[in-house]
Amino acid sequence: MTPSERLPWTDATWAFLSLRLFLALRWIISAIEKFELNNEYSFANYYENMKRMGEGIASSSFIPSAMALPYAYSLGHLTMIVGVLLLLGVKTRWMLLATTALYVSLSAGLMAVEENEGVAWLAIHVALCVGALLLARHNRLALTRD
Amino acid sequence: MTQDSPHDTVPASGVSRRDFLRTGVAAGAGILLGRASASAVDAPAVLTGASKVLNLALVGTGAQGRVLIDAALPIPNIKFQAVCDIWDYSLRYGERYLGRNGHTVRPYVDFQEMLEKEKDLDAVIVATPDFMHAPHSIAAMDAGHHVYCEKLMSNTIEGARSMVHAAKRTGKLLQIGHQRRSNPRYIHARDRIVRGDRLLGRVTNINGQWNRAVSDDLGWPPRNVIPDATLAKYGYESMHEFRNWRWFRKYGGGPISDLGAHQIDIYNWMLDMNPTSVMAGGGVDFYENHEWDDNVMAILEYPTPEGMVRAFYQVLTTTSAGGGYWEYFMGTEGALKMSENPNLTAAYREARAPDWSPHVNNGIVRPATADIKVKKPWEKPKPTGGTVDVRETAQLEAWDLPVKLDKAIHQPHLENFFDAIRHGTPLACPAEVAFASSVTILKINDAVAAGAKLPYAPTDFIA
Repeated sequence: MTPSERLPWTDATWAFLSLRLFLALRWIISAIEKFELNNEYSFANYYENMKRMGEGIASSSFIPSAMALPYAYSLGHLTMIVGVLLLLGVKTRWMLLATTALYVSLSAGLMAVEENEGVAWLAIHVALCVGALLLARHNRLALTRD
Repeated sequence: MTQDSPHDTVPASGVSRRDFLRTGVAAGAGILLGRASASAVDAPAVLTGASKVLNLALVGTGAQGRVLIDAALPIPNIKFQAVCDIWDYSLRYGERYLGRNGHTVRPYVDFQEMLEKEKDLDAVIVATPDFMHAPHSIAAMDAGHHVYCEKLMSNTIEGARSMVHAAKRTGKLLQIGHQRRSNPRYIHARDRIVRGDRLLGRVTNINGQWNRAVSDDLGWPPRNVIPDATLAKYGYESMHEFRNWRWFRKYGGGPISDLGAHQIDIYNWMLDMNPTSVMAGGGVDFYENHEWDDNVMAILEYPTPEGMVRAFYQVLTTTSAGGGYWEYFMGTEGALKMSENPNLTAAYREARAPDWSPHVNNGIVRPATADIKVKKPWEKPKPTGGTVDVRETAQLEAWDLPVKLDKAIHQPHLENFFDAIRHGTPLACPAEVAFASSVTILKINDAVAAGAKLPYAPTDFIA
């Protein structure tokens, strides 16, 4: 059953698509931004930025570099993949779950460095993910069924 | 003072465990070292109780004396027991004011009489006009008392030198009232910002000022005129000169001494050296009945190991424009504006300088405005903004100092003096150090008079 066979187009459908679009663009733009340094985009800049992030978190918290660095290096790629798949509507529920997990993991990192403003900021995103999951049955315009 | 003195008997509650231990250790060290007689600085720590009530006398209960009274009253374990002033009006005020605050004092007009009758004094606080600092301080030390003397040490270099010699001869402590040296905010600025973490980079320039609006000369109630004979006995020409002594060469060093002395002393203290030359200009531009220059501008040169530091200072008493009083230390990577008024204090980071965010966690600075985003070590650096004009550099960020003085500005300096008496703590501004500042400051008046650049020889600063 494709999403369009489940329920008719309703306000909930538009609400979900708005959330899906927002979260997808949030991830994609966030991923692109990770490749930028001094107004230049490159893989070298990506690894420099991610190294700073991983080492910064590790140096400011109990999280060891062995965990923080692999997480940081993979973060940009993961967010790009999740963002694109969410935009296209590929395995939407699974992508929403992945999105939620990424935001929770990012929140955990900021909790570890006591960056409470950042945690609150990410909590808003987690709440949006929760809302999206609750509305996911209204999904339309998706390439694949869940 | 010996341990037999009745004043060594203090309430048990007045002796802290820490004080007891500190005194015990000091005494023990003296015994172990086999010292037949303790040195001048160490002697009080060995011979007196750590929380011993210090008996004080104050000579000079005018404006500055009252400032020192207010700064001293919150300090525990001190007792004013005598005050001295040749003007009955001030003397009675000081006597009554101290009495209302629990210090019953005996009043004296004659300083020598006070020294002869008050045998159990520990220290004398001198807040008389500058020309009497040397006679009063030396007499007090010769009588066996430690001395806290207001700045400037003297209105003459010879007077200041005689005070240093007296301190050495008598073995008594002589603290000079350059109180910024005990201000924790100033100490933080010097030890952590300028020296420790070198946030200013290489200091290249200093700018300082104390600007005040014109004011009327000080008067006196007609019924409180001091008889001419009494004024003459104590060295004053007239009641007007007695009340406005700061403006007359016989009694003081002029505004550069009254106001500039505090700040130029801090130039030397911050750079840890004395200047090698001074050029200055000034004059009696406004007041028709004053001798001393009401406006003075000076440039001092400090050839530091890192390079030349040129230091400008102005004291204006004809306008309050320019933002009050402050000392501004400027370097290649930042600048530090210091003042006893914390609202005038700030540190500024040059746009080209390394990020100061790590210094926030170290407690050295903190953002002064919400515009400054303290960078987290995991965050990507943001591009800096462009300049408005190709000839100017980017705006400096303003940062605060996280150290606050929640006492009267003179209190820490008095506390340091009392700690030195009790524990042998080093004085923040001992006589020989203040002598160098006196030489620095008094020569500015010479440069004004000469209209020329005058050199300082290294030997000038040695008493």
